[in-house]
Amino acid sequence: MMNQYYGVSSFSGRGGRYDYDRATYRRPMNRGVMPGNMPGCMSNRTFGTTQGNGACSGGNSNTPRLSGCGCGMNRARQQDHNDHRDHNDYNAHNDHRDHHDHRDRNDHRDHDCDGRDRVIPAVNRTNGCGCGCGNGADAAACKRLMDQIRAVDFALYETVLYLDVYPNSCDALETYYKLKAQSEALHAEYEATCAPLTAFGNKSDTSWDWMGKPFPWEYDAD
Amino acid sequence: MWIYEKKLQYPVKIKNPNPKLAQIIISQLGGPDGELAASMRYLHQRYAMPYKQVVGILTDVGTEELAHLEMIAAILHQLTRNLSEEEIKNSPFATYFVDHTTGLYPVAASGVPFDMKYVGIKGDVIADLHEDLAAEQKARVTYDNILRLCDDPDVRDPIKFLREREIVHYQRFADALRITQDNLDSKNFYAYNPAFDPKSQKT
Repeated sequence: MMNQYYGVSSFSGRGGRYDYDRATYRRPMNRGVMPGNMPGCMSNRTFGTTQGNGACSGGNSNTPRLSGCGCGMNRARQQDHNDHRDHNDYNAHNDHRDHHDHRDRNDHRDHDCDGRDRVIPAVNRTNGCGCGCGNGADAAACKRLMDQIRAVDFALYETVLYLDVYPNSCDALETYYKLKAQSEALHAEYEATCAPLTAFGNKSDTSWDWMGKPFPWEYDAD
Repeated sequence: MWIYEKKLQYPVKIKNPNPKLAQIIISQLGGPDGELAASMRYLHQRYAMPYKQVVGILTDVGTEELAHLEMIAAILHQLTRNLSEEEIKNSPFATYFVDHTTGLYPVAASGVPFDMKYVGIKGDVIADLHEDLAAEQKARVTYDNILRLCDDPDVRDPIKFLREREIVHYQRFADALRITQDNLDSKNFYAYNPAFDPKSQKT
C-alpha cells in the first residue's frame, strides 16, 4: 500500500516527491530554495494546528477538491486535475473508504494527527509472539529472519523520517503502526530463536547472550 | 539516549578483501563529508533548534548516520581481513597499516584524521539547514566518486544504498527548511533567529 512510496521512490523519476497530503506527485521545484521565493500559498501554510484545510481533512465527494494549502483558494491545483493518478489515489473520494471527512471514521483511534491528544491501546498494536517457542532455528533461518527484519525496519524508519517533517499525516501514521506491528513480531521471533537484538533482549536464565559472535560487521553475520 | 541494535541497516558481505579499496572508502569514515561528520553535525545542531519537526529530523537522521558509520566500518573491516604482508606492502594501505594495523581509525583517504572543522554548526535555523542540504549533496558526490573507483559488486551494493539514503535525507532537510519558512514571516525570513532570539521579539 503505502510502502511503495517510501524509500527510494521519494525521489522517483515521475517528476518529484509523492505528496501524501494532496495525494499527488509534486515537482521538486520549491525544495531548498532561498526564503522569499516561495509562492504565496506555500508560505502561508502552518503546521501543528487544527485548521480546516489541514493535512488530515479528506474533503467530500460533492465539492471540488480544495487546494488544501490553507490560503483559501477554492479551486484544485492545476496539477491535481492533470495528474492521471488522481483517480487512483489513496485519498481519492472514489475509493473503498467512506466519503466523509477523515475524522468521521469510526475506528479505535482518535486522530491526534489533527492535533488532538489520544491514546492507542497497546493491545491493538502488537501481535508479536515472544513466547520463546524456540523450535530450533538454524543459521539459514536466522539469516532469512534478519533480512526480513532489515526490510521492515527500513520501511519503518523511512516512515519515522517522514512523520518527523509531516506529523499531521494520518496515512503515514497508520503505515507506521502497521509496520511497527510487523517489526515487533519479527524482532520477537528473532530474539526467541536466534540472538538478542538489543542489550535488553537477553532471553536465557542461565547465560548472557548479548553481543555474541558473529558481530554485525563480520563476514558471517546474519 | 541511544540504544544500540545489533544489526546493520543494510547487509555487508564482501567476499574479496581489497586494501586499495579500503584506502579510498575510509574517507566516508573520517573524511570531510563522511558519516562521522554527518552524524556529529546533525546531532549537535539539534540542541539549538526551536521547532519540533526540525529537532525530530535532525535526531533521527543523525542516528541513522551513526548506523551508516557502522556500515562503512563493516565494509572496511571486511576489505582488510585475512591480508598477507605481501598484499599490504604493495598497496597504498601500507601507510595506514604502519600506524593502525587493521584497526579502524577515522581518517580521510588522504590520511588527514577526522576534524570537527568539517562540521558547520551556526546556531541559526536557516544557516544550519542549508549546511545540512550541502552536506548531503557532498556525501552523495563522494559516494559517486567511490562508485567510479570500485568494480566489486559486493562493495558497490551497500555503497549504492548509502548513496541513495543521502539523497533521501536531502529531501527531508528541504522539508524541514520549508517548515521553518512557514513558521517565519514571509516578508522577512531573516527578521530574527528563532534559535536564539526570545519569543517576545517575534512579531
